[in-house]
Amino acid sequence: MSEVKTTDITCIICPTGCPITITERPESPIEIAGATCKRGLEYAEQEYREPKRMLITTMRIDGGTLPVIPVRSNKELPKKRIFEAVQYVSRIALKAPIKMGTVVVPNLLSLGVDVIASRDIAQR
Amino acid sequence: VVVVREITTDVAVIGGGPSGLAAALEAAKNRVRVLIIERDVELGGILQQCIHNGFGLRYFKEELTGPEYAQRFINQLAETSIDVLCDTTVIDLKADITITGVNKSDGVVIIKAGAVVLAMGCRERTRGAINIPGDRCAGVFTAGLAQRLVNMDGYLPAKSAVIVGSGDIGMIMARRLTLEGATVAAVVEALPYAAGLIRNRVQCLEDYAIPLHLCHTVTHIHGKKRVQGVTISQVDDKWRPLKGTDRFIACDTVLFSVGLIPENELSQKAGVELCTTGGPMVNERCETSIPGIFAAGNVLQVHDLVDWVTLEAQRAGTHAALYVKESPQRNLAQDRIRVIAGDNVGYVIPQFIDHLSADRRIQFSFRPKAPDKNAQVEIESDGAVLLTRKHRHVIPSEMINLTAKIDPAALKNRELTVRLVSQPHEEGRTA
Repeated sequence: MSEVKTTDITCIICPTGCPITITERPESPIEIAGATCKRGLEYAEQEYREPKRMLITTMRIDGGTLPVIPVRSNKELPKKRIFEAVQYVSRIALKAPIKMGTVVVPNLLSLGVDVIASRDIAQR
Repeated sequence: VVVVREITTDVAVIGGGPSGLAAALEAAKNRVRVLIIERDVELGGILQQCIHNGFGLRYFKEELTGPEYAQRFINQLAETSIDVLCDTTVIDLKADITITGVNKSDGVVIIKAGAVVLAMGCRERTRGAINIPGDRCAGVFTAGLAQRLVNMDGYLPAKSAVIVGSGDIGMIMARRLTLEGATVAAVVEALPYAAGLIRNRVQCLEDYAIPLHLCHTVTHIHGKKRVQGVTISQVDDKWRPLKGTDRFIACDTVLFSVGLIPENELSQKAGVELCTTGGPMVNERCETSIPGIFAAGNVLQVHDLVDWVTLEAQRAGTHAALYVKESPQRNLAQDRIRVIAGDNVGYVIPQFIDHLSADRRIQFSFRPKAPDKNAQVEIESDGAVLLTRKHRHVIPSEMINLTAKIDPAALKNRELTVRLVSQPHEEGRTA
């Protein structure tokens, strides 16, 4: 019994947006069709094996000029953990002042990724 | 009116967003006094609410969030003697560069400057601008306002939303609302394709299985006090709703992401000539029809990448400073080189070339009218093609920037045309 699995991916590397199809057959390497450049091939393979995204959200901050501070992860994390990550950091309240680049959550969910502040927030 | 404060400066910059920051920093490098006037309580402009990444790839060669991009310039500014007047709204500008502002502490402020850089940015088109009928209930926002409420004020303005327009801000807000726990019931787009970047369609909509309804529009907003839902209908190629295709989608919020308009009321008060972009006509120094008044960034043309805003504003800032120091003579009208938008080009900036510097390099920016998979940029003067450049894929939502050397001897008349010519498709290029 042979099972052929195909997955369609739209490349996001450039505005061309190549439609890429990945075919996986038992006991053979995956086939990537439709990519027209090397970066597209790499993207498609990563997106197929384990899609990753940056965490981009806000966190609460006490005593600052704004009630929330924009934060991001310093590296991409698995796409399937993004919701959990947003919920996790939303429960933490930081304290002003904070400078851009400060690590506000080290080793987020043990993923080996830090969350850093995207801007300065001064004390109110 | 009691005037409590008068300020004189060399270069005044109206607006402290990315354009104003870059213009001020460049002007200050020429050792002139610089003052930024900003209506918000802090610098950074709209970048402060654009918390997503993707900024700075061209300018800083790294991927930053909006606030990070702004913070880098704000930090640079702190090392200079540039003056900043925040929380101050400019209400008038005169052709002799007298600026009237108002704020809480001074009341009225009069600023007299040798030159001014207009850096007021743009604003969003609203429900009224595209005439969506229905009830006048609460819960109707522009996407940018909702973005500010969520990302800076810490409010979630929706439990379930329908987003009208698939521009980048609309798609980014669809993701943002979803991550914050709201439901996005639909993104509705009249065009047959998503208006924003492919990357945003994939990472903001497809990642979260948010339905995108192409060739559709909202034909009615329902609600007594708060929005209760919208009627959407399919449209034909002239965007006319098709009978019998309407259906109801329940939601408590409608967001509009239907385009941006350069904010030029002040420019008009000064008598600056505007063009089809809604922004001022400028020469290659970003100088408007009024000597000493310069314009850069989204007030001039709505950009899709902030990096180009920075580069354009740097040019405006430099020339505003040089204008104050050298008060250069302007060309006579008949000596100006007119730049014309040719085939498949919506507009070109600059519209005029007044001076050719020693390196004769001119920075052109323009937008295609229609998508083309294999185009060539051509710059032509009276039948002679001066420059060609291949462009594999052009779309209206992506501005084209091009530096070209212009040899005045090659010009047959005082006109240049920038056009996009469709090329035959190369074999094996189609996926």
